[in-house]
Amino acid sequence: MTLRGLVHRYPGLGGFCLGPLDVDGPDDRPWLVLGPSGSGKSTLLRLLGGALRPGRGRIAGVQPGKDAAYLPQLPERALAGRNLAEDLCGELRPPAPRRTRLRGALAAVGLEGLPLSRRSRDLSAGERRRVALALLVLAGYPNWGLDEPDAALDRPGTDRLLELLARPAAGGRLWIATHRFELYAPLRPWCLVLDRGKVVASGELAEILQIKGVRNVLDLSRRAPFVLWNAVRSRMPETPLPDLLSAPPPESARVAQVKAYLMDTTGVY
Amino acid sequence: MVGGAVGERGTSAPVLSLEAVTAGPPDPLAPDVVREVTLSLGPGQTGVLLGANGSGKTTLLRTAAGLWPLRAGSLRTPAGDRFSPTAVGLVLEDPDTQFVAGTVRGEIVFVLENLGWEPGPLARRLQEVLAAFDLEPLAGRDPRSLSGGEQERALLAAALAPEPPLLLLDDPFLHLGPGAGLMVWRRLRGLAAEGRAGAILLTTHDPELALEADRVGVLAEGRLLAWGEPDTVLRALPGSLAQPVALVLEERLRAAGWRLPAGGLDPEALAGRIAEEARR
Repeated sequence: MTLRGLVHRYPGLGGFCLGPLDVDGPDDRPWLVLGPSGSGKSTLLRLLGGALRPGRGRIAGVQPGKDAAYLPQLPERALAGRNLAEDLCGELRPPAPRRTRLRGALAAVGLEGLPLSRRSRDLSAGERRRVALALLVLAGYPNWGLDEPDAALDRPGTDRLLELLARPAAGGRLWIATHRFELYAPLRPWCLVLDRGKVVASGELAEILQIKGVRNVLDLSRRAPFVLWNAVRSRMPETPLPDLLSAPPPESARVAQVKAYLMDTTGVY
Repeated sequence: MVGGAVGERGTSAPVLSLEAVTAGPPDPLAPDVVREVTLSLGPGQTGVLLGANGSGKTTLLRTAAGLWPLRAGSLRTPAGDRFSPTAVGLVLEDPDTQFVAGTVRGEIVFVLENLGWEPGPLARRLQEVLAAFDLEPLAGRDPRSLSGGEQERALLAAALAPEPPLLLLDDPFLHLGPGAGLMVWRRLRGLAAEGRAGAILLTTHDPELALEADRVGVLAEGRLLAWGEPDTVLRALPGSLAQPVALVLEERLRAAGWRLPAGGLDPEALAGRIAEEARR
């Protein structure tokens, strides 16, 4: 899976420009696309999923729009049918799929047994998000670009989503744009960090978080575990303590314990 | 960090007051979504509502804004009993559908012109809110072409522009990310404390934002389980809600045998308590 000289520029004066991107990433692990709001995460996912065509450059390893699809932010907003069957058939060309296929797609996203007569607005937010994923299953795209799939979900909804993404229903590749990288650490993702349309870094989560530029771009110093660690550190002036993510600890066993517990919450083990 | 000294302001007449409010969608046949909710916010106060998906947060905000009918109880807002954008600033969860103009600047100008602002004050106010949300570089862009987080900032600016005495914000930092969302929240709290953003009620899934509020509420299945000081309410969160990192840390240290002195959950207070115990 490679991106070569990939560029997309939105029309209009001052329109956002993504790229040029040159990226070689693994095929067998999910990609986490990280970066601040407006850095180009959604644009990259749209290009990979065929929702946008690149202005220049190419994508090798997947065929955007043919075997790869893009699911936008809060995709369940588009579910407005009178029932789930209508929602699931909505984007497909006729003939409408058989009901067993619709049920199969729901089962693939962990919604087995949910009646097709239910209205999506009567489902929980987590269930609605998974119905949106079932649309990708039905349309037959194995490779998915998911734009902030964790947004606006409560804890049970997030937990179920992560179980599903650990073994994706379509068995293909996953690209996930997110601000909450810590959630996806159990998926052992490969990370790509964007800022203002350019790649800042790529690699393992634990490694890229060591890079100062990445930490600035991701605003780590303002995230709770880092704020807390810096506050603890500043209270211990007599022993110079390293930063939360750096190895190995010369600090006392007790402070090391605080650090270990805080590290857990960052998703870096 | 802002906030803290709001006790005195809290004693003046509330800007937002709900008494035993029961509400639901406009369809009278639809079941009640929130039941007997009582809460209030004074001038300049900020409140955060936490709750699982479907717990009634959005319904409560829509009802408080006057968009959805009250089924029982009483509601007092600066708008009286109907929706009024001068009295209540509102940001709902669906940014794409809330834009009316072709540029971010036009969006804010549209709001102010409709409310009869004169050109001079309008231009000054426009600059102020663009600056408050770092929107100057995006002012000429079509709001629909912005990223999710940029759209959220544009909507906040448009809601705040007419200086409403009450702001109701439904999960407005979803796409900003935790760091940037917290910065915008602090800015809003700063403006509220200076009397320039009225009172603010915010719904969110991010418990870190709730640590920085004057009041925190927890909704579960339409009922308000708690409404009070952040430290008190956050320590009694139901298990289905995410906890702030400070609370996770405090609980894990206590479980590991640390005898942390009692105290606050804000970073400085917690770090102080940890340092005290670590030196023993």
